[in-house]
Amino acid sequence: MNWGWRWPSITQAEDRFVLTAVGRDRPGIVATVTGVLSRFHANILKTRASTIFSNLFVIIMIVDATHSTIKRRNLINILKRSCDGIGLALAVESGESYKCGKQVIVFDLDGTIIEQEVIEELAKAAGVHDEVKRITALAMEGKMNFLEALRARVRLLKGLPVSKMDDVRRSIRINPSVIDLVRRLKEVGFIVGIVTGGFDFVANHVGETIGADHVFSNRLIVKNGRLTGEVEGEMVGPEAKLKAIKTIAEGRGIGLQSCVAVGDGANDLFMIENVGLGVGFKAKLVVKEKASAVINTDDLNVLLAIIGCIDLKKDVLKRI
Amino acid sequence: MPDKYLVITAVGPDRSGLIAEISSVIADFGYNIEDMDQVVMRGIFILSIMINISSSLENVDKLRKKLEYLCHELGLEVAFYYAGGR
Repeated sequence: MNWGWRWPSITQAEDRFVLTAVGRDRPGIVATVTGVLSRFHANILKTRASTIFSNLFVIIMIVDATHSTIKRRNLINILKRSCDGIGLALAVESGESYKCGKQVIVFDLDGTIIEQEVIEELAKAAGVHDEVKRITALAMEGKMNFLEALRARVRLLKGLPVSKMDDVRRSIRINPSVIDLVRRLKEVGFIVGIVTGGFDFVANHVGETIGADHVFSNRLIVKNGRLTGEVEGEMVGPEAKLKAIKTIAEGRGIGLQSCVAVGDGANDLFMIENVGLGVGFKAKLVVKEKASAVINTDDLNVLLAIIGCIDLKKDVLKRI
Repeated sequence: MPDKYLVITAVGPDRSGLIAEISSVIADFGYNIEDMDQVVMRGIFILSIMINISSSLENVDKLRKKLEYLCHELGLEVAFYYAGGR
């Protein structure tokens, strides 16, 4: 018998989007998310929600915002803030993007995979911390171009002996959940990359430790056992981060829409905005506002759920 | 002791805000939604929600009354099913 029903087609209407919200299971999650949608007259066409990994709750909704009283961009930003307020991670994607299987995931390094900012640690070792911090602040405020700021800071490191760099490398703390996360991502077929404006001597070490397939970073030049204060070749800045993702994707024969980029800072924004799913991970405000997904917890299962590595997504896809 | 669940189904004409209204009543009672499925079929809203009631069995009847009243107002048919024993 054919009752003629089907999932609402999510690829046709521009005002439709797929929302994934994930957080620690507790009462009131559905009420919060649907409360926002209802307040602005967005209609929910389809819901699948369930407890996963025993302590997380995930909601996947197809939302029709045709009759929304506010612009879609504003609706999504309000959703992000409401979810953030109650500790929920949120991803909003077009139907097409949601259906497209993700195959490549790249991570920023400093502040995302590792806790420290390597340049600051090097600056401390070289005794130029205050000066470096001043330039960092200028770059953060957008008063100085990222690459220019990086070059200026590296120049200040001139003369630092390699032994001090080794000390810094040894002091680097890798976010403990990342190793497990990368293993699981690779199990489900992801190509994993690190794309950083940071430096090779740390990035390569971290890449090896976590089992990354690709590492793109800036190369500090060493002569006679000391830093020369220069960086070799083309520097990795915001544009080069995206270019690196393109290189990885092309090697796999896929497009940017199949890529996930995870980062926290302004220099990650360019890649976050130009891949299939850009994830702001404990991100700065400017990134939170532009990223299609925002996460503020170290729980790796939340990231897995947000990027669709859960059985519930298969269940949803089957019925679209 | 295994957890006890209440499955709630609600069916009726679709409009925006239905899940928000129903889920906020459930949240007010402090019950946790563990599974949920919803679809709009030719303009008809169909919702099923599974809530864990083990934490407070004594309030279930109050919740039912409240939901019956609410769904009546919203133009929805509501039904309840107990799972995991009462």
